[in-house]
Amino acid sequence: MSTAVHRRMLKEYMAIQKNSATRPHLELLEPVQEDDLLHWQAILLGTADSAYEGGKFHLDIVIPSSYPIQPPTIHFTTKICHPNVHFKTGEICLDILKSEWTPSWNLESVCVAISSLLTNPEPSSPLNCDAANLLRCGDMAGYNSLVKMYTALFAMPDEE
Amino acid sequence: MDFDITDPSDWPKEFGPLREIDSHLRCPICKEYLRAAMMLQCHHNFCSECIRRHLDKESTCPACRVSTSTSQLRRNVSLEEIANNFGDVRQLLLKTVRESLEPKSAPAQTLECAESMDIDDFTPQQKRRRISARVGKALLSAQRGRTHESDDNDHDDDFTMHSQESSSGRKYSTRSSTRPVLRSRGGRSETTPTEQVPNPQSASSSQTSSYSLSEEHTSASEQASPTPAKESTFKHTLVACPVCTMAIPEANTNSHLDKYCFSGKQDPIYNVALSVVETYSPQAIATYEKDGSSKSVSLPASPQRNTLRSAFSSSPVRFNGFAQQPSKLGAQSGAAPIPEPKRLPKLTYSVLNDKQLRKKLQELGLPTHGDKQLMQRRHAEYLTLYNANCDSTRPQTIAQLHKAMDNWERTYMRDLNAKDAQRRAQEEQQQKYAQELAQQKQQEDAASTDVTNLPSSQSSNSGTTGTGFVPNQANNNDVNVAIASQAAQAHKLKNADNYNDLIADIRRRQQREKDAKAKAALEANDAASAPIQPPPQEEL
Ligand SMILES: [Zn+2]
Ligand SMILES: [Zn+2]
Ligand SMILES: [Zn+2]
Repeated sequence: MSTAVHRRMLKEYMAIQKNSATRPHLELLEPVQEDDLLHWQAILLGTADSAYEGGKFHLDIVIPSSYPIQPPTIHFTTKICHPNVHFKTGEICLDILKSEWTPSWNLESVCVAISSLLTNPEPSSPLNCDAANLLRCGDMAGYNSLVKMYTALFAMPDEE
Repeated sequence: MDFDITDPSDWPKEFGPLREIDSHLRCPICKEYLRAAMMLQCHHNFCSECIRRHLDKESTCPACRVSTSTSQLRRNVSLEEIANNFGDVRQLLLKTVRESLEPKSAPAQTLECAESMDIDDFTPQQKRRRISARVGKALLSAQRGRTHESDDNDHDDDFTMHSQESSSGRKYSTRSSTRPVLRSRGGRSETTPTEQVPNPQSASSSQTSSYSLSEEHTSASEQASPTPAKESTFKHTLVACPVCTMAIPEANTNSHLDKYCFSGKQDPIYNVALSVVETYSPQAIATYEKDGSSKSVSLPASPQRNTLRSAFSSSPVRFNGFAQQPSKLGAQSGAAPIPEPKRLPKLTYSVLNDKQLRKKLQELGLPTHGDKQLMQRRHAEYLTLYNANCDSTRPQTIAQLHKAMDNWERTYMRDLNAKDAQRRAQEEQQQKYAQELAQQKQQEDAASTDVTNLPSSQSSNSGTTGTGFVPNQANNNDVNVAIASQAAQAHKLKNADNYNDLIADIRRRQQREKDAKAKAALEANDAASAPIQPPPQEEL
């Protein structure tokens, strides 16, 4: 029932507002428009001391009407260099968004998972082969500078 | 209480155990109080409907991932009763709990206290209310055309009125602050009685426009200690539900909304409750509304007040095959054993052809149109609803299930259309991307000499990081990426310390690019002919 998903999203919305202080890496998580609870956006903050530091990464989140039985569809709208994120489409390869999804997850926990994916890439299931190859070769310096470069390019507000 | 969405954190932190109880009574899937609680062999509990829906898709426990199946589901009737009753008494309990935390002041503060309590002077509550007001619209539009098509507009009006009224258009009890706040929903009188009363046999009730049915509390002790749920439901102000406008005890608004209204079902309990209540109404009808538009019906305190209970225990109401079970009363007194309703068996759809499936649907009184996939989904959905209903101590009628199916049908079609549109858009995008790639490849081939000429100083992995990387990511339409890639190559990628230089260089290059573009545009303007050529990508 579609109203069930609306109620559930409303609950999540309010829970998110209540504990907004407890999520250092999630700058924003809210519906794109107040009257559509099935379309959300989020902003992840690059973790300090990581190659993503200083970056703001926007996520687009679409809630299916069968949520939470089915997982949300999430992709990056900010270009990001990461082995498990498609550079062009922003598609995220993360098990909990697919086979490992379970209805007791929620948007907040998923965003936290994506945030931790940033610093814990899984090069064995790459969507960005170049980034993954660097990691697989153990070239952390190369990987980090590549990530920093794209972070500076696309995820930082213009300084000009 | 408009679109009140409840949460364990509503309980003040001083009452931590209540938070715990509240959260343990909730389904991990829908986060509402458990409806027809079912336990898996891993001891996790879910609403019957929620877990059946999940197990249709996956054979694991949503909480612990242990593999399981519908055959493992066991009713957890006590838990269900606890959840039901906790939901019923929640609002009253919450008020009492909050009041107990208020600094004690003179008993004369009645009206002010009642008002502030009611508006919830707790910040999260205000926040909630604010959100509710805004997002409630979304809820309503989601409801629209599903639950009560006929009076959509009234819902909308109801809601707007509600949110506007939340501070002004109320009436408060001036008696005692420990009493549950009496509130009449003024302005609701415009809707016609037939819309409001699901059971309009009683003329007196259909004239009662606000359903503010209050009862004088006679003794002080009665006021001080909230009575158990069933009793208290009967003692409280009846208000029109903001969604279905059915008259429901105010304290039960949440559970009513949770369990019935938002799922497009009718509330069987208060259907009955109302008809019982109606038998009282001729005895005493009093008006006390300031604007005179709404009335409240005062009941005399009488021992017969328990009619609701006895109505259940003495003559279980039968709905099309579902026994209206005598609830916990029957169980407690060891009365007639509860007959287990028969659940519908699962079908192996793959061995059924269209005709057979159609026949199965027909037997269940369901629509038979659509292709096999639609019929299959429809059958599965009905199975979920029906079997979950069998698990409930507050079951719905078959007619209500069919109404829910109508809603499902509409949602399904809408989703299908939306998905279609989405898929088409995706395909288009993919095509575009493929074209871009092909184009890019051509250009790369042409420019391959340039790339190798770049001062690339990578040591070991030049195969993957250098040429392997740039062509994949650089794109003519994405000049920035190209610039960055070139800059990165010009610098020592390996040396992370050069990062700041690198960024500075990228910015410089971007700026140069911009200037070049501006210059080109200017020149093009001067020439007033020849389309603007994208400036060359590198200038080093
Ligand atoms: Zn549930
Ligand atoms: Zn479990
Ligand atoms: Zn209702």
